[in-house]
Amino acid sequence: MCFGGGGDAAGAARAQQQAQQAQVDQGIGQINKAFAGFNPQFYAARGQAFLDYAQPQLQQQYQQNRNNLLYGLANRGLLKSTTAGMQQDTLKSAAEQAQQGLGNQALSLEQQLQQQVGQQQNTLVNQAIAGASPQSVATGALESASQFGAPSVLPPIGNLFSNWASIYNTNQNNQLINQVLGTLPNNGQLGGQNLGSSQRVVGG
Amino acid sequence: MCTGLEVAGLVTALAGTGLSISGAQTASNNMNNALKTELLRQQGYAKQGQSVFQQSLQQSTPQATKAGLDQGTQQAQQVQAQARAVPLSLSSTVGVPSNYTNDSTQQARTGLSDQANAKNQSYNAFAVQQALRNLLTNQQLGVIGSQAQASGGVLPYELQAAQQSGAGQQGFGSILQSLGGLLGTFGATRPGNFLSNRAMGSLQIGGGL
Repeated sequence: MCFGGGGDAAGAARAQQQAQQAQVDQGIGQINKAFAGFNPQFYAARGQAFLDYAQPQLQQQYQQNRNNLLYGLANRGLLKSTTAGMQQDTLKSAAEQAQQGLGNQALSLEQQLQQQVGQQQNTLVNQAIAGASPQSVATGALESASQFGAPSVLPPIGNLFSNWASIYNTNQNNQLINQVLGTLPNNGQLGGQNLGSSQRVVGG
Repeated sequence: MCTGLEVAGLVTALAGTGLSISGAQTASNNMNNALKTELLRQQGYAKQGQSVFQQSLQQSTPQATKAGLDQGTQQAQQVQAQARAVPLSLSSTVGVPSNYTNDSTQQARTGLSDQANAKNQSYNAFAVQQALRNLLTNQQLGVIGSQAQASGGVLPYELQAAQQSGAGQQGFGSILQSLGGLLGTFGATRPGNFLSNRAMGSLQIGGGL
């Protein structure tokens, strides 16, 4: 027609815009459906999986360190001494701290996964907005969801008693040094005098 | 004196002018309507956006923050309890005394440490939850914003269409105006009418003398 032909094109543009909007809504609906399984229980299970993996290792490391401690004490004839009790308690404290550390690591893994899932969901929503078809968005969402749902590689827990072992070994070495120095004729007097005078100067 | 043709020309030209004005008015009305409709749509999107923003804002109030921290503490305590679920096989089975601390002191110390740790962890948990909520809010605002932008993008086409909606009437009015003009000119200049007009002019001149 000569007059008024633009109306059809504008109507088509409006219809297209509304169809795209519906497509975006549909795509987001499919993404939400695919990610519906990522609830607090899912993330808690992730943390529990890490603990299930780490706890036997903690027990093993604890047992090893305890054995080393007891052998060392037995060698020096200190197995039934107060020192033995104190050292065992420090090991117990270290083990409990390690348990707490594992708990924190489990929590951190839960949070990391939650953030990754959130980011992935966000990426897919952005794709839906950018005009990807609902089908491709839904496929992407399902792929991502299955990726996150699958068991992942758990991080190594490392040596949980390294600090305790380091302190224990240092103490052992110091004791050994003291024993050796104790055999020298002038050791105790010289060391004691120097340290004593220094303390007095600082105190004054 | 006006002849029939001159009158018809005048009427036709007037009708054409009327149609042109009506066409222009239709176009103007339609443009206004298109703009009003789009403004209403944009207001709807703005309302949606405001609602999403307000919800997000409500999650950042001191009360909501406290609730979020409490929730984070609970979550951390739950995980700590899971971590403590497998007991350490500590016992003095080989006769090693434990004089330094007894079990109840150790348990109390561990309990306090776990409690403090859970509180400390709650800040991190809250920050993560807040980041995820912000992500979701930005996502929702992004969807609304893109829809608003897409809707606004159609407006120029709709305005153009509205502008052309009166073109038919205006065109027809122009044709009628031209036709009326032609009829009027033809009526005024046709031979019979031209002579009689001249005669009347002579009479008037003679009368004047």
